[in-house]
Amino acid sequence: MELQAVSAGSYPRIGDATGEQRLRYAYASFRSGELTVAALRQVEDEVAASILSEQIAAGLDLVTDGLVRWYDPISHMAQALMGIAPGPLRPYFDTGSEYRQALVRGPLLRTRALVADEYIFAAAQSTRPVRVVLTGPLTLARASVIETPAYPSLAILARSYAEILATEVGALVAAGAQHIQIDEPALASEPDLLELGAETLTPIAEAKGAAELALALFHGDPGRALPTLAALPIDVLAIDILHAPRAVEALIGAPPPQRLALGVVDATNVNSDDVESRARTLEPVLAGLGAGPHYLTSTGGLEHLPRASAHEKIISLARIRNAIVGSAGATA
Amino acid sequence: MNRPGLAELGVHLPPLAVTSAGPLPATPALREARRAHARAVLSDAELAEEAQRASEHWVGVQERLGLDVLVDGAQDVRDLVCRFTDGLAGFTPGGLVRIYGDRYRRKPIIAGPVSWRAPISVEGWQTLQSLTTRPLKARVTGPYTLARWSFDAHYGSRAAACLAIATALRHEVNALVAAGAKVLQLDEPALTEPGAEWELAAEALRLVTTGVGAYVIAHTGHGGDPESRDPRSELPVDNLDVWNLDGSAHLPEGVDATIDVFALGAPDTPTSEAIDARLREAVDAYGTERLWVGSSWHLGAVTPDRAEAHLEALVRAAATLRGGSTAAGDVSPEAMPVAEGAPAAIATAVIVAASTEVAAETEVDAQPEPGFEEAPQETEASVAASAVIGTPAEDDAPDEQ
Repeated sequence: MELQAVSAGSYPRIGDATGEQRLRYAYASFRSGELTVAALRQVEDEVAASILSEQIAAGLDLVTDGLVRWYDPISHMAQALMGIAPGPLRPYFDTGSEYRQALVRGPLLRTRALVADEYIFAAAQSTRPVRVVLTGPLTLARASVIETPAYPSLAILARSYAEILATEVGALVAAGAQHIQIDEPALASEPDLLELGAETLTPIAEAKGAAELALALFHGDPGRALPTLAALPIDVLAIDILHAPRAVEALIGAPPPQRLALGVVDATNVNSDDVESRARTLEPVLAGLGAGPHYLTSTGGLEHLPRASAHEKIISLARIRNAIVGSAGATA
Repeated sequence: MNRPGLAELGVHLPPLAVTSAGPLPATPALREARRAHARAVLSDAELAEEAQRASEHWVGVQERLGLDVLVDGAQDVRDLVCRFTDGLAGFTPGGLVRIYGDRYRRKPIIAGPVSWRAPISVEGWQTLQSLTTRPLKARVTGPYTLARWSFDAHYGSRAAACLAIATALRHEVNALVAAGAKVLQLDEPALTEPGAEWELAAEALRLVTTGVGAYVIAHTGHGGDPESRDPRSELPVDNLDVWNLDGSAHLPEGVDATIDVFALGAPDTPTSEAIDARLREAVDAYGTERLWVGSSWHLGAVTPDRAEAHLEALVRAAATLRGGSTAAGDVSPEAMPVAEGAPAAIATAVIVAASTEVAAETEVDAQPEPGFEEAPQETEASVAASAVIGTPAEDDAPDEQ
């Protein structure tokens, strides 16, 4: 079985050491008018490059730019769309972080790339394949406040977001992206929305071409949803196997046809992830899977941890992979 | 305990007692001190001295404006979590974690059994209380928030961690009451978060507050609203902050309500008339006997001038309703005795009302964010973040406290 270690998406953009806080100083200078947006973007680029290097050095096979330019998972998508105004801050699932609500005030229109430019930059910097992340249509819709008759229901708004994301996926594929991840925590935490969630993923899957499309279902237990999700044209399902017992049970009992990204390193706590213990946790799940390649990842983005702890986590991830398949099983 | 119960403790408050939730903006001198401290040209002790001066400043401001129950203004350089976890055994300092954008806070680690070693906040409370004859709230961050906003590397379950923290905090609360605190405020902003465990929070607060011999306020940042509260639990407190005006029937019997008058930064900045109208609605919903008038946690995120203006408007609105609303038939002046413990309160408020029209100018300072063309509005929803996270935006220099 081929098993790769992959970043789940976000990564801490600053650390506790003074030299690791450059981006923070840049934001402060931007706010006070001492730094232009272009200069701020330059610093973001440099931080993204350093995070890519850190992941590669830790031994990850598939990396991300850490989503270092994202203020939050909602507004980073919303700010590229006409028809949305920034709303108040709300808690983002059980992460301790917040997102800015999207106030939908008119028909949505994609005015520029959501993340394609960031992917192009990251791909040029990285010696390993880069996974690009988008927030899913259902999560975006749930994080929106409809203030226009253009969208009389959540479902209609979610479908509109899905069309926009499908366009973005097309742009990413055209730019060369081969690994695309859709984060849908709303789908993991609200099983009642499963049917709508599955429907809105369809146009995105149709736009992916030959690229690998992963659906990340962190911040919840999607166990009940797995049979439905198994029928979707998704290549990879990313699931937290440390905090989602129903999903683990479903994976062992009836593995879906898709390849899996198994969240086996705890992104919610600074505790060390014991390599042997985690490998044992994986055994029953891996036993029923096909040849792969499958992925090992964290139970969500690592940005909710201090950077030093996040660094330990990605090292653990590579070690767990090696413990199972040996370092030869990793991407050459 | 209600208002008569407070009177038995020697705290005589009028109906519609005015208070502030807690955080008030750093004074210009404190901001400068923080910048100097960040450049390592000011010592920890010197920064703490400036923070103390800022606290004293805000106590004076609140007294001058006529608030009935004062707060420390949260001028301490630490956030509301670290202020207590730094003093409890079992916690170790954690690293910076991101909350939103470039807002960060230190997230402590529960590394061993949590216990109380010595008073944490008593001396600071005593010092500020000695400056005023008005009651000063003793603020303690609640056990649920301390548990949820820390990494648990010891207990393995949030419930176990939360209850251990509650047991430790009971010692702190006892020490505060023994020192003379009559009004306690337990801050539980984590109850605004998705999946908040209300039953656990209530169980933990029972450990902290049962039989404590003081009036206990829970401030949740509107997690106390009936719509968001888990109906299976009732927080064992005397006063709960609320925002909505249509849920009085669901407020537990005997529990007072602190209504936030200002929706800071909301699209429609409240005018004086809107403030008065909201307060009248609140009186209709909750009645004067159980209603307190409060500010938002968000006051810590605005400029000092604007915060002061907010407080002025708050006092003016309450005073107007106490003394000038008989025409509307909702409040009788005879039912509104002047606070015995705070004889200057209403008189001061009347003077303020006659001299200042500030409400129309109250709005939060929006901070530019890269990306959106429109500056985002801060509203009540970000109450917790604004209250506990100092940001570069606030202090002009990176500073996680």
